[in-house]
Parts: sequence; structure tokens; C-alpha cells
Amino acid sequence: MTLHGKTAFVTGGTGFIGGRLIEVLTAQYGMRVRALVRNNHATPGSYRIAGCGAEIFQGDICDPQRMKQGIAGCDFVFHCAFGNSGDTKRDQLTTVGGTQTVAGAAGANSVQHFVNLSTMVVFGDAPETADESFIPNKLWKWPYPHQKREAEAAVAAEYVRSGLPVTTLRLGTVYGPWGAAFTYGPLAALKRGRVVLVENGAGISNAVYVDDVVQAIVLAARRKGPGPELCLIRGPDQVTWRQFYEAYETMAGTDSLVDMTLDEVRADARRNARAALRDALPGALGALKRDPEFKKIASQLPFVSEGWKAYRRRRGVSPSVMGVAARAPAEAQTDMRPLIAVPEMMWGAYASRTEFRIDHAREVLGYQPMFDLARGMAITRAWAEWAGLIGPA
Amino acid sequence: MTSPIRLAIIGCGAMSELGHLPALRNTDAIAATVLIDTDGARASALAAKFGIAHHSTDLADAARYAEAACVVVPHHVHADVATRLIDAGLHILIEKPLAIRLEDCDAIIAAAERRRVVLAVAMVRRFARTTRLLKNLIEQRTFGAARTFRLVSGVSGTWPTKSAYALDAAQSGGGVLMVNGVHDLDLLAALFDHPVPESLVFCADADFGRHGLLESDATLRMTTLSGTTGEVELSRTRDLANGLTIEFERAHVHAPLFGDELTVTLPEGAPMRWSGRIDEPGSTNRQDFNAMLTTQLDDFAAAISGKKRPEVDGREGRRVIETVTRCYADVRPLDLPWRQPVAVPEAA
Repeated sequence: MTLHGKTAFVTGGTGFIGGRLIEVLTAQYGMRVRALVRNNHATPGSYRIAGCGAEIFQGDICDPQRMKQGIAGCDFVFHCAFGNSGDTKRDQLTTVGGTQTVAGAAGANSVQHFVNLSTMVVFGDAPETADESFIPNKLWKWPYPHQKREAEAAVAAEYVRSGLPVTTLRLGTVYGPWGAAFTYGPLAALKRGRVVLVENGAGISNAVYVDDVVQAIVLAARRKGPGPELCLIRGPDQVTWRQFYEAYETMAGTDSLVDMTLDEVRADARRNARAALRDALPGALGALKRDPEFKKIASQLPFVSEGWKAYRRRRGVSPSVMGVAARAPAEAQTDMRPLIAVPEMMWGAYASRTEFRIDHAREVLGYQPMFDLARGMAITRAWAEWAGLIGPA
Repeated sequence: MTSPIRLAIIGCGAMSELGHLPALRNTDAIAATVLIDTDGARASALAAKFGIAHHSTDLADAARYAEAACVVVPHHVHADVATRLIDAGLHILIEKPLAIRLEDCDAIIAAAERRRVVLAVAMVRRFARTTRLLKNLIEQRTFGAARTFRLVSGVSGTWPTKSAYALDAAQSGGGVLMVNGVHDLDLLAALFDHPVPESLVFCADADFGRHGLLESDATLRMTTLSGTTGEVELSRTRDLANGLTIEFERAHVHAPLFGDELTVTLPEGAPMRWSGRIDEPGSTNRQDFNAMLTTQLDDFAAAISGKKRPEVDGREGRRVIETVTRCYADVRPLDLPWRQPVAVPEAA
């Protein structure tokens, strides 16, 4: 199946992967691209795709009529959008409801292929190696993987309902130019403070450079085989989180990585929570003390004033030592830059030693990842310098 | 005390809401009396927000309530809207660019000359204190002749446009050079005169396709008519340093594009660096974007009152579009290794 001269509907086109996909679809395949955007605001992402000649299509991803209008006349749908507002309810609506709506509209318009982007984190806790056949039994306590699993199910349901040809790609850690979570994120964190490597960075990142992802997307769209497909996509080499972050540390020219075991990360988080409470408590109690109603009631309860005195005595002798790791290197213990760790709900994913196999993608798509970490990071570095995120080499 | 000049705001998008209307609150010389937009609800909402007496969807109402108009509409309708307003006898302050085609610029200029009304182009950086001080340093040759310059201008933030005109080449007339870079070209023209046309070397991250040119990142090298050579880096996807550095014979001077500070570095042999804020007599306030827009409105009002010519008239605005047109006629690719084609194997 050829893509040349065909028309595509792309969701999430103003984002990282969608933006690069549109560059490739328009420049290499001469495709006409209609890109869904939430509003008419001018953003770097919308400028980027408008520059490629994409038609900007404003609409709500959960609006079935609008999605049918957008997909009408399109040969392919590339579904890259997901909710990333941080508001769980809103993200659930975008990621699950939006996928359901877009897949339904694609089915109603009989598109040639629907490529759905998902993530390897939907597997949750997995053995040391795993492939598409692994059935998850312990998901991470994190809304995103749950939402993406539901979104995958919505796409599969549309296949059953309308026979929509679908391929779902479960992606590893995608990085590269314009990447938010795994490019801007690490570089910004390394500038801001010391970055914690959960489980000493021994977890497997399943990193993949964005152009390899785009290769897989194009191959998926061209796939001829019957039935729906599910493929795992990562880069050609096995990359630990340590290697991944060290590449950014070198790029940023800092010495900012801190090894911590999962237990140490937990202990540090508890310390920080206690310190935050200690810092907030005087203000809160002070406000309470100024409240006339409270004062009236408290004056009748002798233990309140005794407790307050005790608290003030203790506060004077327990200074907070925020952000210093229990077993951080000696020099780091005098390093007062803040300690930055991923949120607790993601620790499992960062500690995971699972290497996901990509044999199936090789077999059914002909996927050949071309960017090992060194090559991918070299290009990312050139971009980061151009983007002003790092100084010249 | 004379009553303020009555102004119609044509177009109720983000620039009117965040720029011109707040700036009008700080001047007695000119006041908005009517807001006009094809979206009546939007015009009504902004009129309520800023306490403007009238709002309308009919351009003809401008002449009913005002003697001057500020044109803040998508680029491709500048010529049509401006000439209709001029024909109705209104003085015009038109947002940059004057128009996206030279023939449209000519039509607006000719109409203004025929009706003898003021035609001012909104090039707000002209009113920055730094621009005025730099101009003085160049003209007085305080540090000797200006040899080279480097201007870096890039902001990646979101601009809450109400229409998607900036994402459509047919409406915007181009990308970062046409939409943002005209400010930079005008600033350079104010300091060094316009570029020698043959000296222009323009590189962009996009080229003309079936959709026109909508570049997001670009570089431009030039020699100006005053003999100074330099380069400009433009972006609307990256946050750049946003400043102008001029290498004089005896010093380097750096001014931010947004701010009052100036840094002077003396060369080797007398290595010294001085940084400071520029104040104006009678004003201790920092000059922000809003204050610059107010100065621009006062300049327009003074021109209508016959006290002076507008800082940027139609012919000056046209010369910037001449440069843009010349750049777009010969676009070279930027070298961006991350935009190389993706190798896709034959399917399995």
C-alpha cells in the first residue's frame, strides 16, 4: 500500500511524534495532511506543522460529528493524541473518549488504515524479557497506562464493529528533537538540580529515537496483512536509564546524577513530605490562632496551648534537611541543589528491568531501527544546541 | 484641554485585547470609541470589558463614531480594510506589516495621499528607549563607526490568536519573517537604513510548496545602505537571547529587544563592561510593551494633530515589505540535520 499522494488525518500533530510524522509524510510522501488542533492558538507546534503545509483542522477530539468531518476523504488516520493536562478526568476523556471517537469516525469513513500510538508502560510489572504476548497482571499505579490500555481496547472494539484495519504500536521511551518528557524534561531537570536515578539507573529504558518511531508508523500504515496488529517499538540497542540520562548529563555539561535504590528514593520522599509539612504547619497554625472562633474554643481546652508550646520547642531543634539523599556521594551531601525524582507512581516503570522484544515488529512490519543511543543522542545534541537548551560543544 | 481623538479599533483579536486596548488607558490624546469585528459577540465582549461605548460588525460604523482607526485584522485583508477606512476619511494606524503584497502597499499609500489622511504603520520597537539611545550612539559616532551587528529574535510561547491566520500562508503572507521579522527589519532600518537588496541572503526551514511559505526559523545576512553588515536570526519555535549586539570601532553595545538595559563592553586593551538601565527625564518607570504601545498611540495622535510626521509612515512600511519580498524570492534551506528524510525499508 502506498502513501504517496494520499491524504492523512493526524491527531496530536502539534506534539513531538505527530510533528515529526507530519514533516515526513508531507516532505517524503507528498501526502496531504489534515492536522487536528484544539484551538487556533499559535504555538511552536502549530507553526511547525503549518510550515509543512498541513491543513489545520480545529476541533474537539471527543466530538463525533467534527471528527467525521475531519476524517472524511482521508485515506489514513494516525492517532498520536492523548490527554496530557495532568487532570486525570480530563485526560481520561481525551485519551479514552477521544480515541473511541476518532476510531469510530475512521470506521465510518472506511479509511485504509488506522495507526494507534500506545506505550510499553501499559504492561506494568513484567519479566526480564517480554513481547506482545505477555499478559499484564500488575499495572503501575499511574493513570496514563490505564488510560492507554482502555484506548487500545477502544480501537480493537472498532475493528470488531466495522472491520477498521488497525495497528497499535506500543512505544518505548521516545526521545529526540522537540521531545517533551524525555528530551526537554531531562535537560531542564539537569539544569535545575540533581536528578535521581531510581534503582541506580539499572532499569531498562527501551529508548527509541523519534525517527525510528516514524519509520514504524509509516510501515504500519503500509501493512497489508489482515486483522489488527500490535507491535512493540524500541531502538536497536538495550539502553539502561543510567546510559540514557548520562547522555543528557554529558550534553548539559553537568555532574548532576545521583544513584539511589528504590528504598532510598522512598525514604527521601518521606523526608521531603515531612519537611514540607513542617514548613507549612506554622503558617497554618498561625492562621488558625488568629481565627476568633478558634481562639474562643481553644481557650477552653488546656491541652491545645500546651501542645502548641511543645510544638514550638521541637521546631527549634529539628531543622529540615530537604533533598539530601541518605546514601548520596559524599560531595553530593554538601551539594544543596534540589534533588529531583520522578513521581512515586512512576518508580516501578523506572526500576523495571524488562527488555521488550521487537521481533514481531521486524517480522510483520519489516521494522529496522537505525538509531542506537549514540546516533540518536548526537542528533538530539545538535538540535538542543540550536534550540538554546545547551551551550555549544 | 482638547478632547481626545476618537479611535475605532478594527479587529478584536488577541493584539487588540492584550495590546492596544490596555495601552489606550494610559493616554489622554486618543480614545477608543467603537470596536468593530466580523464576530459581533467578540466585539461586544471586548467593548464591555474595556468600557467602550459602541461595537459593531459593520466597517462603515467606524466613520460614524471615530475620525481615526487602528487596523488589527489578518494580513491578507489589510489593503481592503485600510483603503475602505481611508476612503471614508479616517486616519489609519495599521498593524504591521503594511500589507503582504507590494501592490497592496501602494494602494494603501495612494489612498492615504489622495485623501490627505495620516497613514502610520505600527512598528512598536521604534518607540523603545534602547532604539532611541542606539540611534543616537550611531549618529554621534560615540564609539566610532558601527561595523557589524547581530540581531537575535525568537519567542516560542503561545499567542492566543482568535483566528488561525498565522497558520495559513494565504492569510499571513509568510512565516516568521513576515509576521515577526518585520519588526526586526524595521528596527535595523531605523538604526542603519534599509539593506542593500543584492546583499540579502535568506535561509529558512521551509520552502514554497503548494501551500506557500510559512517558515518558522530563518536567518538573514545583509549589508545596509549605511555600510554596516550583519545577521539576523529569527524563530517562533525557540526562545532565543532576544537582543541586538552592535560592534562599533571602540566598543560592543548590547541591547535586549524587550527591556531598558544597555551593556557596553570596551575591547581588549581596555577591558571594561558597563550595564545599566535607560531612564527618561520625567519617568522612572520601566518601559514595558504596553508603555511602548502607548507612546506609539501618542505618536499617531500627534501626527493627526499636525504636530509631526508619524514615526513610521506608509513608505517606510513599504520598504520593509520590499525586503521581505526579496527574501522570499530567493529562499535557501537552513541546515537542520534532524530534518533529514527517514529511511523506511520495504514493507515485510
